[in-house]
Amino acid sequence: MLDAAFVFSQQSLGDFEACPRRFYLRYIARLAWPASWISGPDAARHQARLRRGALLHRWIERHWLGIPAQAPASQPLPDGDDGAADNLRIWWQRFLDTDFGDLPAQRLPELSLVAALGRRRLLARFDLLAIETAGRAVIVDWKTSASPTLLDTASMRRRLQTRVYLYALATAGAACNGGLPIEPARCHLWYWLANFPEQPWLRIGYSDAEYRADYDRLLALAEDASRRAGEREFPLTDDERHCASCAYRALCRRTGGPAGISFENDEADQSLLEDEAFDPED
Amino acid sequence: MSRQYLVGPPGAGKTGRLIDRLVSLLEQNVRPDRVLILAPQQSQARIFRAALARVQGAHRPRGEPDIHTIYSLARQHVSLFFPLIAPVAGFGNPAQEPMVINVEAVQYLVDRFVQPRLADFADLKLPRPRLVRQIIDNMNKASVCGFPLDQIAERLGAAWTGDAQRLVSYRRAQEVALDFRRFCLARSLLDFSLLMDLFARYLLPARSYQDYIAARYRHVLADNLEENPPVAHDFLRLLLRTCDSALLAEDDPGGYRLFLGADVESARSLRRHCDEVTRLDEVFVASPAIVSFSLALMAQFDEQAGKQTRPRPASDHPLPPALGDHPGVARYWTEMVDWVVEHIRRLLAGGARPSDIAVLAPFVEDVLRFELEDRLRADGVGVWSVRPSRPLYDHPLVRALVALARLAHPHWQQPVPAGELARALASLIADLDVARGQLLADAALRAAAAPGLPPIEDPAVWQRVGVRFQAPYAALCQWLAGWSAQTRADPTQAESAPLDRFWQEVFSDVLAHPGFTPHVAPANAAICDRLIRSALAFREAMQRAGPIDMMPHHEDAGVPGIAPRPLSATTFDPGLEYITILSQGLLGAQYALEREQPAPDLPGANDILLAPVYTWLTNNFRSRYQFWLDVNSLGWYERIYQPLTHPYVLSRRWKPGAPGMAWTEADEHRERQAMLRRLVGGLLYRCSGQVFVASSRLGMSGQEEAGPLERALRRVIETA
Repeated sequence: MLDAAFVFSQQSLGDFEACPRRFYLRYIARLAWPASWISGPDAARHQARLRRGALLHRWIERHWLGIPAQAPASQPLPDGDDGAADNLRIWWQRFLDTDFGDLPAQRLPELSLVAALGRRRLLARFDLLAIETAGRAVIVDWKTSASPTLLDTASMRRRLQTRVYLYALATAGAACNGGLPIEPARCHLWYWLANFPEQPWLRIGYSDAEYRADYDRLLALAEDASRRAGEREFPLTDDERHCASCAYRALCRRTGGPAGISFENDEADQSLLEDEAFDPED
Repeated sequence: MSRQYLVGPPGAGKTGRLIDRLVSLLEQNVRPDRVLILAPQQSQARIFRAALARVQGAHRPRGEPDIHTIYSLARQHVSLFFPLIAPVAGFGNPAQEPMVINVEAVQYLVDRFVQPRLADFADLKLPRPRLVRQIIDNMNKASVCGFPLDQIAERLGAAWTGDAQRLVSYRRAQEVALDFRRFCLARSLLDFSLLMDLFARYLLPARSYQDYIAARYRHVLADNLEENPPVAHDFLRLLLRTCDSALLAEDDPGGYRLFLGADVESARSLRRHCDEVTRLDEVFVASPAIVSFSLALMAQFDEQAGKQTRPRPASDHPLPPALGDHPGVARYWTEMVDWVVEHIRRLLAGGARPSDIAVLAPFVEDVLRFELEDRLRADGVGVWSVRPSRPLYDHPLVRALVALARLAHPHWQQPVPAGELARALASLIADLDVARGQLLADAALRAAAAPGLPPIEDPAVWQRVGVRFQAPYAALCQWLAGWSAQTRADPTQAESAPLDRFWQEVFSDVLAHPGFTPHVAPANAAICDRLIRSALAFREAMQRAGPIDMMPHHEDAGVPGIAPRPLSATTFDPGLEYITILSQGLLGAQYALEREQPAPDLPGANDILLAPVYTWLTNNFRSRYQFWLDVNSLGWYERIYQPLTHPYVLSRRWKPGAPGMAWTEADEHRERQAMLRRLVGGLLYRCSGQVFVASSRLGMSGQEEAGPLERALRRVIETA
């Protein structure tokens, strides 16, 4: 049974939607399972790519906090991807060249919101929230993937990350708005696309109707995950395509076919910069 | 709102008050990310995360407070502000992003600096891993107390009253520390000590950082202040100047994390910066009987207390209600374990749950765990142990993965002996016992024409071993053969597939599948996961560190049971280096599985807890029933022999150069008494039921001991 203090996120809801068993293994059994869904040199390249994304996020956070940024040109950077270490410098330059004048003036980098979702809670961690009193509230998400899916507005609008972020902002945005709620119509999510300089922004708005629909969908998922008990009530997915990029697939006796690196698996992972060291206090 | 300081014994409701304050702040619409919660360790931080679920009603929409340990906070902030501090902190290339390195890498690198200087430490007669750890301890203590590394030898020397040779050892140890520090600064490698040093000496005094935290953290909640080092108190002192409210809590008795720089006096200095100090004396965990027993026992360690009382046999006098029975006094150690198991059975028969029970001893060896598990298995009761100092290499699965790595890397010239191969196969292949593993290992060695794991075609072998084991053995064997062929065919493959990836791939392709232990008992996969992460972090640190030297560790040949590094080694192979330090026991069990508390409703969640006393206390556990083992052991009283470091001398309150600052026998006795007092108090205040104490005249190794705890217990029982 799911712990009463469990906080849902786009990742955990996405896991449940893709495969209830994966959700069970990851969040209820908390099963550390070191299998990899990619192997060989691909794994190294993938890891390096995620690390570069994480580094870009750190530099951008410093930028918004007014901490002098590094001089990337003089730095050794994570390599291992077809000499693509230069990507980081290119992304950074593109970021510096981007006009952020459209964004509301108050900029809150790396902000977490926890929104009520029925009896449960939902966490959203924004790369940046730009907000103006009684005006717009814009979530900005830095995307370093080169997947063309990023350019498909309809697909990005449907994406679980989009739905979770906008719902969380409309539900819990009061926490960073002086206690005043932020109506859905004022909520926006802008994806900044580091690999698409011709079209650096993908902008998605929000409405009351979408908010209600998101609430219904997210709540249904969270309640469904919460009321199940025991491994048997978390069956394996029927859609074995999800197994291709799942570490647990051998445990579940699934093959899943060859795994490609999908856009969903190509997200910058901040934990890559944070979870390498031993905490002697722990 | 105010700045309030709470002090009281464990179980007096301090954490509850902190949680109430957190909920209240959120219900007042305080911006959640403006609240900082500082806990001494991550496991306690979880209590606050769980409490967030209590926020109800209209205030449920909210953000997330910052919940940190001082280390996680320092790490995040040093990384963020690195461009500000790097140019003034002595980094060779301030523009290079820092890399935080794990304890394995730190131990390895310090070891490389120690190696050429081993002769300087010969008089200490310390195993090299312990020598290395003490040098690292010194660096860590210096950083969290806020003094530079070049004061370590001076401080230790001023307190030393023995042979002058020790002063030379202190200086040599300091030189190693300083060399290592220079090495890290040149490569932007952050070990714990450098990270905390940057935090304490560069970040905290920086005006821009002070402005940042003043704006960021308007409300501060801090628990178990006494378990934090002075640098945490310095940080809080800054916040107390600017925040809107603060609630700080101190456990008394406490201060068990002395080895990590915990400083009770430093914590108490924060009282001066608070508007109010509240003493909470009513306790809600321990019963009145336990409290009175605790006070009586603690008083035994006050100066001069109880020295005139002559103990009589325990059975002659009434039993204090805090004790579940008269002390169990056995002749042999195994009889003591029998006594403990018998009393555990009685408790269980009386309705107690296994998870109500903690078995505590100054040291927890494998044999104790085995003896308890073995005896309780028939009752269907499991044992969950928490032993942070257990070497990672002690885990059978880790040894098995190391054996596989040796088989797959013949150029390491580390053959796997038959016995080791047998144990490895038994650990990896589900249901295969060691006897049958030995049959397979013998057959494999007979069949081996080349390094690696050969196919076994002889049907007679499989008849004896069992045909069902043929498929998993063949799968393992084929996979290893494929790996070797691939790396032979493409030498670059060996570089692009380092040790961590070797392990990950053999796990993904073979061990995760039916017929292997991790598949049938998935909880075992956690140890594989820890090992792989550890090896990966080590490799990445070594990549940043660059070549150190190409000299093999000749002296490794003299370590019993450890395969020597090949003298022909001319290139630096992080995998081989990692295997070597792992098998030398240099790596502690920070990555070991058994520290993980089983998830609720999963097997193991209702087991008896077995832990060393200090581990149990520093994890802030609570147990209804406690069993104190080996109460006559000096282990309850004495500090581990650490000739190169000193928790009291390397602390902020120790003033080097001041008159009378030599560390004397009287100082040692006083501090040991004080620590034992805090220790028994801490245990008892966390006990809601009863305590059972046991000892054996002859210890596990056959030695006789007569420590002060047993004497004190007798005196208290006698006067009950």
